[in-house]
Amino acid sequence: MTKDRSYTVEFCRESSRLVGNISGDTQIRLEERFGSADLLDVLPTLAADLLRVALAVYAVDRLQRRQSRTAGGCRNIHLDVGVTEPDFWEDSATTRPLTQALRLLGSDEWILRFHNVEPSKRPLGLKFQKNHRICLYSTGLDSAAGLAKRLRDAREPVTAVTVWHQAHQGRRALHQLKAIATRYDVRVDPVLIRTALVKPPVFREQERTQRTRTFLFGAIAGAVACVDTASVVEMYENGVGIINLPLMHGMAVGPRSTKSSHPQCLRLMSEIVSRVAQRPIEFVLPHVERTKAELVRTLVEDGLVDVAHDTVSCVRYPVRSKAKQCGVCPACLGRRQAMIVGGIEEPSTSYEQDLFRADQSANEVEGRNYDYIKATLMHIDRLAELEQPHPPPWFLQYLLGTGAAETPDEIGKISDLLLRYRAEWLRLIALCQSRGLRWAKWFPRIDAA
Amino acid sequence: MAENETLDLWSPSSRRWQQLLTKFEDDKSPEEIAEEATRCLYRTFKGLVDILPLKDLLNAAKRGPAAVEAIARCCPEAGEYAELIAQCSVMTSDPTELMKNVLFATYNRFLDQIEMKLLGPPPWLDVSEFSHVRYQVAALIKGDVDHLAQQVSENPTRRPRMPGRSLKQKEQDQRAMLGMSIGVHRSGTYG
Repeated sequence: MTKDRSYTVEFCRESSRLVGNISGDTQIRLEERFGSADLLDVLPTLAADLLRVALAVYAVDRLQRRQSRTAGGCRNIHLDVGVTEPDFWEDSATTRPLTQALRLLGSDEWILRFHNVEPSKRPLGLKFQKNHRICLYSTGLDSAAGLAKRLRDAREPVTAVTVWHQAHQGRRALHQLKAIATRYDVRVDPVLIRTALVKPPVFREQERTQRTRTFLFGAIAGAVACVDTASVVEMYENGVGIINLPLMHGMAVGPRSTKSSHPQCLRLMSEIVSRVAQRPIEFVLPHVERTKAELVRTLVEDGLVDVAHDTVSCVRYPVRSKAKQCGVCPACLGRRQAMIVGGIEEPSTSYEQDLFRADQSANEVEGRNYDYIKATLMHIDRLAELEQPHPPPWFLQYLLGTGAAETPDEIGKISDLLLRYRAEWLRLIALCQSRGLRWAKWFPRIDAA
Repeated sequence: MAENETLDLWSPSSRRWQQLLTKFEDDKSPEEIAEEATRCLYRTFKGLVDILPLKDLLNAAKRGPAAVEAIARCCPEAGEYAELIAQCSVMTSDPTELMKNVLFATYNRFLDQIEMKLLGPPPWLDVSEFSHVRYQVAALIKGDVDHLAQQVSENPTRRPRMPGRSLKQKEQDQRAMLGMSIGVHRSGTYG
């Protein structure tokens, strides 16, 4: 049964840190690390409140484990956050998009309350670069290829916000952004913000889905946009990832489906951040009509293969081996497919398990490590139904139900995108069949020509 | 007390669906598999009547998916089915049509898990072979699904009546269920 839990989060400033005290010794921290000097000082009060709310939501999301799957895994979460403008946050025009976004992301019901705290007494300083364009930069393959594609098309300065939550992510972000900026001879201003849950319960007692992480990332980029002159926050996810059609029927049920860059979620983020900034700020997805492999080709054509190698995609990163990426999770499979189809070879040591190697070692992968490639093959098989004159009901139900598409034109574009994605996979499966790989034989024989 | 119901093939409440897996494993004919699939759907919804407010959910569908979702949040013992009904209510608010969609969505959910388990070794060497039988079975159960959908939508608080079975068939089912309940744990996959 959905179990109600209550949390109160109080924030304070500690030098360049914003620290939220939750319960016991557990804290959520946000820290300025690079390019964001004095961010917390220059933030308008509402933008600072947005960070407090997002940090509190993210922390509590990790602390309250979902109950049994029987109950759909949904939670009722009562959260009370200290903010400087409680009237603004309790206004239904703010709470409606906020709770809707959180419900969409994690299928949870958030009952939010706000109490008054004194604003920071530190003086305002304005040391920020003024760019019209901001992007969220995760150091993943889509981020790198997506930014490259944008700069190739329009050489305007951009502020790249990285929310540092992973080992070595700061170094990777700076390295990649420097290489991309140099290649296109355009100014890219990195902003690194580190977030961490301090003294949390042991990992197995935490909620691992962390569905509200997107909300935290969006709120941080939105807060930076409030200080900058930006009216647009770009997210570089490929179209297939944005739509995130479940690999299997029913995987869209409840919180088991990620909607991290779902169009409906971004519409709600735009609404929240625009209200906070008191001017329009829009979250946009410039690559919604491209596959990952199509984006990767930009890196190949523009000599940025090293940047592609430096990116990380694995959901289990860093795995405890030299390879660091597992090679069998959905994110790794998507990456492998895009890299191979896009024309980038990777060293054989890049993945703990390699399902695509030309030699027979790929057939030594065992047991559950085949789960996601099996699900992918079933998915690719099912996508053939999109070639019919009328879209299948399961497809329409997903698009309309999640708000990913609303018009026949949008549905048609998504169908085209997924059929191109299917064609890419068919070429890859044919290649792997010719290599004699075991899993590739679970798909009917494809004529490589 | 009624057992909780989930869409997970490997949960204790889904033993009836594991029988369907056995039919696929044994390479039974589409007709035999369809018969089993129909039984699974009837039994599942027979069990759901006691723990899922089907009447409220079907009525809420007339007010839109958001109303269904609101009720779905308060269904502790069959939350996944409630969520599934909420998802299907996007396509139609007509109770019978909605129930048909829910029944096929349930069928597809379990079939995906069965395919995940069986894909690879004979007789299910590739995805297209499985899909072929899957579509055949879906066509064969359509009449029974329509009948079940009508029963549930017209009397959502009453347990749906199974299609008639012979005594011999009943004995066979009981034996198979007994085998399931004492069988070794089958490690499964779940997406």
